Amino acid sequence: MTVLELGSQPAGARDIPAPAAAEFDLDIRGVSKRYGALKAVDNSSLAIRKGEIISFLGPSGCGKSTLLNMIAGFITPDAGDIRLAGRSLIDLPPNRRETGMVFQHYALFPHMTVKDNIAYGLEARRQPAALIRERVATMLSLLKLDEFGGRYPAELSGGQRQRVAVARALAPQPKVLLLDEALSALDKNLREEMQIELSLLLRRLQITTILVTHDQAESFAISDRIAIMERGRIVQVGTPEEVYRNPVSSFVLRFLGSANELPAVVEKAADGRPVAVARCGVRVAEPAAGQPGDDVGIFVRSEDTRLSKQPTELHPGQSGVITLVTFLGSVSRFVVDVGGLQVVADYPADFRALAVGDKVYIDAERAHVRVMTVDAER
Amino acid sequence: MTAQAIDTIAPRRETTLSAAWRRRMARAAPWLWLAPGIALFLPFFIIPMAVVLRNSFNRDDPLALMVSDLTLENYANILTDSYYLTVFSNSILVSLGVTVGTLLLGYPFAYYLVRHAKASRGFLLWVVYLPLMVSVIVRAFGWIVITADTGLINSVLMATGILKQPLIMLFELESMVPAMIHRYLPLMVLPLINAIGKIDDSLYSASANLGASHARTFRKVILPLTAPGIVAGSQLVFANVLSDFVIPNLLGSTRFRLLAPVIYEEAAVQVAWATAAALAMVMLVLVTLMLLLSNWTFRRLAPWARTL
Repeated sequence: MTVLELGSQPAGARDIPAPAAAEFDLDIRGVSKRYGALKAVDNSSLAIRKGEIISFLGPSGCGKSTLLNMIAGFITPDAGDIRLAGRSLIDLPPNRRETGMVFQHYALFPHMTVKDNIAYGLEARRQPAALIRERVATMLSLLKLDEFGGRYPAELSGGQRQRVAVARALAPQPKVLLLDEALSALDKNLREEMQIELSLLLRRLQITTILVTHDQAESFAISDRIAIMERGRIVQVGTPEEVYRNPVSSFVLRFLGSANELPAVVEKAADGRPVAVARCGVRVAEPAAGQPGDDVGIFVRSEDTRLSKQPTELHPGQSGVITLVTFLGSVSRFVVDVGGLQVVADYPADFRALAVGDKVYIDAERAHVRVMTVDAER
Repeated sequence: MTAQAIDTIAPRRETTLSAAWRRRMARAAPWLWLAPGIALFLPFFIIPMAVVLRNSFNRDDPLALMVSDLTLENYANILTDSYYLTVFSNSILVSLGVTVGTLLLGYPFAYYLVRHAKASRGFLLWVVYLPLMVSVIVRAFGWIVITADTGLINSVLMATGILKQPLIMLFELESMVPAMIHRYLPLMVLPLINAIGKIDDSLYSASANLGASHARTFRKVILPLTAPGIVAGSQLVFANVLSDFVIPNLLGSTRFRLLAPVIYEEAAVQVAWATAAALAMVMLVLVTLMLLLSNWTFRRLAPWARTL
């Protein structure tokens, strides 16, 4: 288990000893920020290792950008502490924090050439001219920008601007790199290309990196660990595989990948043990969540959902009907109407054993079926 | 066969003709937007200017008012006579001074208004526009009240014992230049507000993130990026001060003559229309040269501007 410290626990529950400075590079401790009645960031804690690449992942308004801006020093937290290499950043102005930020729309200086943009941070820190020239040349070649040194930002493509923004942020050798939705302005193919390139580059440089994104695929493609945020709180921290395989809540499960959600009620079976029963006839014995009488959700990811022509243990009741089969390239998607509910099952693209109109029952391995309490606010 | 062919071809040719005509109309249509402007500009500006240009080559005559001629005598006269040369240098000096004055006053004001004003923003904008809504005559009398020998400033300074003798400000540069700065401040502030407002907030953040202090951010990022606004505002103020007639007339000194009142005097008092026309043409050339020079300088100093 590499989940080192979970965020957003009530005060008092956090009696995990503070990690040694050598082990953790960036230490966020109980940070909060309110805007009027809105808790933008709510008592969030996270320790990030030196050289680690971590994502703050969540929907818009979850507080991930606020947290990033507090690390950079653009927003002052109401409470808590942020420590970098053992030293508190809270009282330092942004220009003395030694963080390198890549902004969502790059924020390149339009009146400076690519070279001057990259040199800006080194000049602000009054580095000798020879060193600046050398660092700029290194950054240009590192990000494959050698031919573009003399151009102005307006003369570059989106992808090139993105590289300049990364080069500019890295040039002064910051202690931590902050990427604020840094790839979201690029189109899909370019974005995926940059994800790979950035992953390789960051690992080569071994720089501590925080990536803020609302894009699950992007956070999975780049980061070592992911901190999932919901309404100002860090709700789960773990490797991409951990958070995907073992989501702690229905929110996390829904946010990562597509899942079928069947509203259900916990009942007492004939033998007295609890069973979650969905309106469509799906039943799960001994659910992990909920007392008899509770409303819960039965969740099965679409790639884990199988369809059977015979009634199954999971779905002994009324059968469903396949209403739609679509070819999505990497998978074939079967949409099943079960008692008015749409259930999606993804099969390998060449799967042809079922067709529209077939009567089917839902099946899945027990390990892939999760019963969870559902957020009241949805 | 042939008769039928002609029958079918004839109407078709008509449609192609009208199509060509329609295409020509479509190409001309956007220019129609300029029609009202041209209708006003041509009879009331271009033609009078042409008349003035023609007059500048005529000869003034004490008896016949103006004699038709084609001579450069007027230009030679005004460009060698020390009286006119002093008027030119006075005008250029005052224009430069007022331009610098409005810039020094307007830049911090515009910066505060764009970057920091929240609730007061509307009020501050209104303050900028206010001078444009009050007659320049009324404003000039306001300055007379303030700068007169027994005016506001002198009364206060003498009542508090700082001065024994009143400062002579009225009908001197000391009252004319502040009144001009006051008059032309909006022309500087409005382009500056526009230029400062165009700078993305993230550039301030990026500069700070890269280790730059506020002063460095201003010097290296904000000032160069607002240069277009500074140039635009300066051009407007310079050209307007150079041709200002009212303020020098109401608040200026007869010992420090400026161009516009001198042209008026030549034309209306001395009835030297040709000389006045030549002076007006030189003034036009001065303004044009200033515009060209500042545009050229700006292009040299800010090659990036063409990329935006």
